Amino acid sequence: MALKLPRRLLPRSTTLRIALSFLVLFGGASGLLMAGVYWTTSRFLMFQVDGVIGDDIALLTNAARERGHRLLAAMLVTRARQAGEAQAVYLLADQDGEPLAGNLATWPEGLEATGWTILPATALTVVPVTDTLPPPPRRPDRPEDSERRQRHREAWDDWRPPLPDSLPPPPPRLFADRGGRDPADPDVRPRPWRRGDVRVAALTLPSGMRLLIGRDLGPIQALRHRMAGAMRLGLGGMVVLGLAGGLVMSRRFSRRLEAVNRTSREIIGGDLSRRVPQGRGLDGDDFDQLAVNLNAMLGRIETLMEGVRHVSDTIAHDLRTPLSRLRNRLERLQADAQCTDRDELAAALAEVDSLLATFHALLRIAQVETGGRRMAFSPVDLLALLIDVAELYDAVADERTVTLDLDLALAPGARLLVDGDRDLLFQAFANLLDNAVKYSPEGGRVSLALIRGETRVTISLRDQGPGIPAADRQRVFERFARLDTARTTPGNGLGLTMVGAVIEAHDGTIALEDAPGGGLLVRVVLPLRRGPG
Amino acid sequence: MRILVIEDDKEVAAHLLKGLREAGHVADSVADGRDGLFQAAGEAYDLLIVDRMLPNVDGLTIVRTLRASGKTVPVLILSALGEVDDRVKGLRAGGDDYLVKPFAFAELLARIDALTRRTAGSDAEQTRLRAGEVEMDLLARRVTRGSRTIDLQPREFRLLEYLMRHADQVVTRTMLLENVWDYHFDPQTNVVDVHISRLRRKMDEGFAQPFLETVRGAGYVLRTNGS
Repeated sequence: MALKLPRRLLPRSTTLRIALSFLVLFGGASGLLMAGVYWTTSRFLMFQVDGVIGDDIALLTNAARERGHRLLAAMLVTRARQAGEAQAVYLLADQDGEPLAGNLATWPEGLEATGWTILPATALTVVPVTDTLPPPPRRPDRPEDSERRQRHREAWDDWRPPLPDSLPPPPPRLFADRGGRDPADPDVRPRPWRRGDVRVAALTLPSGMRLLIGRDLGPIQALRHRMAGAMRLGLGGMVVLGLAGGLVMSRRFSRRLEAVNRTSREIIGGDLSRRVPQGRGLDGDDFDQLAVNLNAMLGRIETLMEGVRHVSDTIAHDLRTPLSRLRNRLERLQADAQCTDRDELAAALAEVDSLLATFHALLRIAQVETGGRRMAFSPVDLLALLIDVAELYDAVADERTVTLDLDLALAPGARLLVDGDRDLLFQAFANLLDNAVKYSPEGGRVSLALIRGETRVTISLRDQGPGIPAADRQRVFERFARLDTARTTPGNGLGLTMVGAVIEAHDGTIALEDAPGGGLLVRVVLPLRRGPG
Repeated sequence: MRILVIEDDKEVAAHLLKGLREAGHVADSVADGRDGLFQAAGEAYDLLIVDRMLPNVDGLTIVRTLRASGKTVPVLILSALGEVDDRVKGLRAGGDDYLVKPFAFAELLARIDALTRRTAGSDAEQTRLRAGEVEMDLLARRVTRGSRTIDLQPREFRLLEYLMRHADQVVTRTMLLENVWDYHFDPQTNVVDVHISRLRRKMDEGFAQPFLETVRGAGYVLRTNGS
């Protein structure tokens, strides 16, 4: 969309957005088209008026040129009478603007002696037709008479009537207030002399007399008004229809999309058996086909997930059973009084136990990753949990002369609720603390700090150990990832994998950074529980 | 004690019976869920050990059915599944304790001990506990060994309390984590041992005799006869 509106003003529904942008586009285009029609029409009408006035000028001036001013005045009077006061105004005046003939009382104030213009009707005072031009002296065959005519002709030879200047554009009345209407009677033709303007041409004849010819623009104005009204109505109708259509369409689409979204949310929530309503299936529209494809995909995912679960259950069951039996036999041998090699047996038992522990950890991680435990989520007080973890590991830190600092920055007795699995969260933070203490140098310091935000809580754990090289920071969350530096320490390489899976299952994030002053800084962010409580 | 083992894996069942009999219990075993349910409902046992995955009627259904019919016999559920929330389901169904296969036999015996001791019903609210020369006043939160008063942290106090309540029984590390710390998790290092050794240092200071015994491969036991 080319419209640069601030995001919050745009509706969230895509369909509504599309409907609105089409409305804007089509509305704009029709508006432009209508404006074009309006403008060309009014220009054309104006040209017509000018043409009529021009013809009048030609006729009248020709008559004056050939037969003198008397005839001009007589023609003016005839025309003014024929036209009626509403249609046209004519005035012949002397040099000072004193009226001699026509249907105007005075030469309009401020009107140039020559040129075309548009005057408001209020500038003209229409009166019944008058003719006060003195008749010419009529003494035929006097030489000065023909001389006078000669002079008259010569004076007229160079005279040209003024051409209409380029028209002013029509006033932008498309949405303007319709002033000047009789409010009691809005739809009659406007009374031309009370409103609207008059197109006027003024000329100064060679004799110095002035001539004014004008045409009422009232009819044009009325037509323009009607056009504007029709266009407003059309545009309004279009907007209303477009909006209604857009709303209906977007409601329909968003209802169908919501069905897909709802199903997706349920699936994310851990119920893999949900499916999107398919409507008419593959014979249906795009949405139905989308639903069919989504469902096929979901079915495939579910099959795969079940496969994974089945494999892990099979591993759990099939591999742990022989291991259990092995363990039982070793135990029995150990308990046997005949046995002389107890230490060897104890070592073998320990090996079996660590194998079993690895299996157990793998299965737990797989289970956490597939979200199978989300059902057991409940409000957990993270603050109490962290205090418990710290207290549990404080003794271990003591043994290694490592100091464990707890900076909870919260009032005692405060609660910090997250939605989660208490045992899993404990496991995750225990693993983190375990690592921090394990890799700390003698006499080092491990600090656990907590920052409570508006919607999330940040737990940072800092040690003074060797840290983790930046290149390895993603890798340590993978299964059995063990850094070369850690090969000698006890552990199966699943501790951080478990942490990552648990934090992920709680919609949190975990980041490893360099602690200022060396060592590793682990930053865990967890969303706080919404709502009261 | 009379113990009924409902377990379909012959090997495991044999191992359980042998171990239980060696520990001095009377044990029967049934390999099928339905038979197990009839036997458990019809005869008087002091404890049931029930596997989750059984032919015909699964373990949780057996427990639920027994509980619904008003039987309060303690039940220990066994499971070979890696499903961690099985524990929650098993306890909700009415199990008293839960053990994931494979288990150390010592762990099983310790838990059986704890379970049956719990139902022995001698749990009228005591205010004083005694174990050998160690005495604990629960109201005053005071611990004495012989004539010496020992100052303990709250967690150490709870640890000692649990050990004393289960005196003369083997208590495993997992049991301590579950009951003293109240979390089910797999510690990476042996944190429990560290806490126990702290407690030992405080308790044994000035005494020749250690107050707590370590049982190799199983856990700890607090002896009362002072042997």
